Amino acid sequence: MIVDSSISLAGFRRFDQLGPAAPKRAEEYWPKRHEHAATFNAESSMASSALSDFATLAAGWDGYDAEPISHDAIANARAALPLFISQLPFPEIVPEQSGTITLEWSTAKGGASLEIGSARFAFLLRPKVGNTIAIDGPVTTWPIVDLRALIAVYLYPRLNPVSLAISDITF
Amino acid sequence: MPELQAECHLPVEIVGGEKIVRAIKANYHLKKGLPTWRAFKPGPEKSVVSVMRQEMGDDFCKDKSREVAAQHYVGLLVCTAAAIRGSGSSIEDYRADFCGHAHLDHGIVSPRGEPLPAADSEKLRQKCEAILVACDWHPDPSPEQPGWSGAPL
Repeated sequence: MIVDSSISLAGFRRFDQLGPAAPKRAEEYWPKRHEHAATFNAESSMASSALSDFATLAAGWDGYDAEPISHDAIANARAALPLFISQLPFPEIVPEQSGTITLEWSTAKGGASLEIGSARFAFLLRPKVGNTIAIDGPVTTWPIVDLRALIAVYLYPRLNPVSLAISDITF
Repeated sequence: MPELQAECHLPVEIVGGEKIVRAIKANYHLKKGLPTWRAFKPGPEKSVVSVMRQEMGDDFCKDKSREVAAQHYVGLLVCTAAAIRGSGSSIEDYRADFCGHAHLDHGIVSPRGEPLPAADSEKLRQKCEAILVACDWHPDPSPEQPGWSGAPL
């Protein structure tokens, strides 16, 4: 598998840069899952609960030398999660030994992970077919809508009625 | 090279066919009852994970794992040194801590409080996954008891 490490945030074309045939907003790709308020609220509650639990993890919580999960990482995850679960399936939320938090999605089409730290993020999209997409940078400028779109197009095409060919995006 | 323990009878060199054992803990290494690639992910500011040399015996590996992982211990992953090296990582004796201890080194240091750059994160994950698929998983039939009572490692 090849990692395209040439991808950078600076060169990442947003959905509104895809040309006249493309929708103006990534939200147009998915059904409005938040219309199913009960499900959305339940998932949001689960996410909030999981993140609150992470705040209680002490140093060495993994039985070795894990870092406590930082308050900044939790705050960053709290900010990002609603934007993902409003239109994607609920991710697995994993505390990492380094004190970060990873959101993970996995389907028969592949997997995606977004590791969130105090100040930076690292995103990996690992489709079963094709190259891994690797994007990282500061959380102050993370392109959540674009990351969400990548996950949807590659991993949840049934939620994505337009099925835009992601190869249309240049990096 | 770490300081040698005079009483350690194992050769320092780890040959390719030697079995290497990793203690598995329920709270971080398992997903749906099976070990994940995180079983081989180093802690912060480290590139190595601690493993044991099966040459010390199944009971030793089990008892040391209980000692280290405490109540979280659930079983052992076993693979060969050759499989580890085939993934691009290295395995070296580290008897300064205890006889039978070894370090599995991925050569990628995880930062503290922040993720690795995405490309490095992918390289690390690929190495961990390659080792994982080469391992045999031995869930411990009696994790609370001393001594290994399962099939030979």
